[in-house]
Amino acid sequence: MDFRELAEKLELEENEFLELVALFVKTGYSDLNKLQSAIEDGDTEKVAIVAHSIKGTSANLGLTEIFEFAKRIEMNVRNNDLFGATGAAKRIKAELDRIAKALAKT
Amino acid sequence: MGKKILVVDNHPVMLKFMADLLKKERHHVVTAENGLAAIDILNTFTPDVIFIDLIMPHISGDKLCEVIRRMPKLEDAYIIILSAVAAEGEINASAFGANACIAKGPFNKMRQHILSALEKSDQKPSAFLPGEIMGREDVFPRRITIELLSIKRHFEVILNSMAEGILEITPEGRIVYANPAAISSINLPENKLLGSNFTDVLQEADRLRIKDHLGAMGIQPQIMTKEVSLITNSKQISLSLLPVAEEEHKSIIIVINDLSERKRMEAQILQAQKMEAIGTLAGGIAHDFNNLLMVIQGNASLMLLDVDPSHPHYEMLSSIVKQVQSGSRLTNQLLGYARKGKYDVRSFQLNQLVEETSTTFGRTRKEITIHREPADDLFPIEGDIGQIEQILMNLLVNAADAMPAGGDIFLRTINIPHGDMKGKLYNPKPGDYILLTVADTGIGMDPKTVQHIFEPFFTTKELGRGTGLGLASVYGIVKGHGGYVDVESEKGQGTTFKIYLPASKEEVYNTIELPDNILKGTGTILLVDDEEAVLEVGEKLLKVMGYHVLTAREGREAIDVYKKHRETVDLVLLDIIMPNMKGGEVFDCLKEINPDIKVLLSSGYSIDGEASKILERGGKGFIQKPFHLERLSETIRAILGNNPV
Repeated sequence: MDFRELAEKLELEENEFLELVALFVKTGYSDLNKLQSAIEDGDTEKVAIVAHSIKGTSANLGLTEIFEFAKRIEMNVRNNDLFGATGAAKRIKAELDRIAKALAKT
Repeated sequence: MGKKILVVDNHPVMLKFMADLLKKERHHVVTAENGLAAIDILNTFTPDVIFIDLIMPHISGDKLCEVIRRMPKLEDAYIIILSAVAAEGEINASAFGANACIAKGPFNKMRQHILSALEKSDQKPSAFLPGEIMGREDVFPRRITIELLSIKRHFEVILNSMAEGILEITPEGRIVYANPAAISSINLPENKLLGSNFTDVLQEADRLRIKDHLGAMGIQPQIMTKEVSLITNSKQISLSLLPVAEEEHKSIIIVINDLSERKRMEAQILQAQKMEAIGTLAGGIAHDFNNLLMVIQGNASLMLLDVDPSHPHYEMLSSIVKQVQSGSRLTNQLLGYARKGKYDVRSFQLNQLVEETSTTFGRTRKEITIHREPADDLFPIEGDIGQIEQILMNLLVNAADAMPAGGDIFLRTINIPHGDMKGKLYNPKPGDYILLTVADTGIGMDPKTVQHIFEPFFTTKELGRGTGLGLASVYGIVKGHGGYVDVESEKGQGTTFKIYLPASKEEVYNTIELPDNILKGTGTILLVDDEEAVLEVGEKLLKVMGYHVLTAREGREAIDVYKKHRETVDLVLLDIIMPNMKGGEVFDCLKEINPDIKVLLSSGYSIDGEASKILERGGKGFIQKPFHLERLSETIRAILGNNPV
């Protein structure tokens, strides 16, 4: 994962960007937990809100993969469709894991 | 030069990005993660620029803007909305007082817009161009955001239109949301309400109690309902406290119901019951007193007949008679209050009575000017002239007492067609009414006094002057006549009493002056009364009038005596209230023996239901104890036909 390239795109210094990403990962895991339990509970309203939050922050940081998965969840759940949400949440978790691993190496 | 900047956003990533960026630009930055925290910071920190996220827990961004705009020291602060939602252009940020709006998007784009907005913040006067949202073109497609927003609006419509007040408070008790019903109940502007302590809107006495309940909810959440009073308008409200436990933030929803109307109704019912109970009591006391007075009056009158005016006892006996008459006026006031019916009902012209009574009264109070405005063609009314006169006298005395230094009393009578009676608090019975207004220019009353004036024994006059029965009897008499009484008063503004009485369709009865001396008569009278003393004095009185008297102590005996002396008895003077056989039963038995029997009813009570019923069945008349010698003689003569009245 090329943090330098991402930082340059956002015109941020690399260490500054890394700090923001670290914070994003931390809040991202907590959001993800909420998202997963909301999906289990079938609480579509809450699923939409949490997905919306994840989507917004990932957009800020240019993390397009997470943005896309979060957007898909939110869009579907608005049509009362939780189908695929579990899968998408798993994909978000995988992305977070990947970023966390990359962060650890820096 | 660096600026003082406050950033309010609930996402840590956004807060850190903003803080890093602005610090690098050498600004002084303070951050807050929700609206409530921002309000706390603004108490001590006065920023030049404030960045606010739109959707946050604990006071949303738009509400926060409005609150800030009403803080005098922050009037000129430059407010920039930072929001993903605003990017849809659905929000007009200037409406809640913001100067600029920046759409959330990739940080590089946001940085440009933030820096350029900060530059613009220097240009004064700052102006927001509606619809100008910086960075809209840079954001990712956000169709969904609109839907999120529309759900929020959906709930807002529901909350805004609810009759119940809804508040949301933090576990610490600070208000973070109030719907319009709550704002109007509490009667504080929204910007004052938000952020303030909920218990501060309650009256001192309730605060600790509710604080304890709120504290207990933190330990063990439970739904509860409490009644409290508000500090702003003393309104009584009920609170339903509903704990909301979410992972992100805990809060308590409070549902407010205004109890003032219900309390008012309860108080009204209680008041009516109280009046009724006191009325029953007052009537009972008056009844017993009238029997006592009857004996005293009768004996004194009889002694007066035997005593020469030059004798020293003559003055004393006259004084006893006079005092008994005063006492009897008092019991009459009591009966007036307690009375549910009337006696001596006639159709008459109120104007004439008003004229006579007020002229008599005016002579005793020279410092008062009485103005009369009688209506031409005033409808006649049906009632007891003595009682209506009592109303007038009571109102005149009160009006005069309210103007110790002199003043004006206005007496007005007008016709009120039935249609004009509508819209009154009470539910007027069909038919026309007349309205008698008695207004003074006196000291007036405060609302608390007005509330109690019709209660018996309530008086504002010094000890010994007021009996507290005057207005109580006014109330009772007006009610007894099927009318209504209204009072309007204000401290220092005088008082106006309005008496509504049903108009009569009967022909007007012309009053006849009563003779002042005893009318002697002949014949035999059967006197029936359960009280020995009354019987004794009654017998003597009747004998003085020239009648032959038979007596009976109860109903059975009365019937036996009548059977035996049927041919000689001309009239039965029958007490209605007796043990064992009631007056009504006795009357019916007598009537069976002789359908043409002449019965004069008497009672220490007024002519309530029982007497009226007997009169309907053929009773010849009613006389109230204590018997007044002249009046009794005149009534008997009228019934016996010697001298029709």
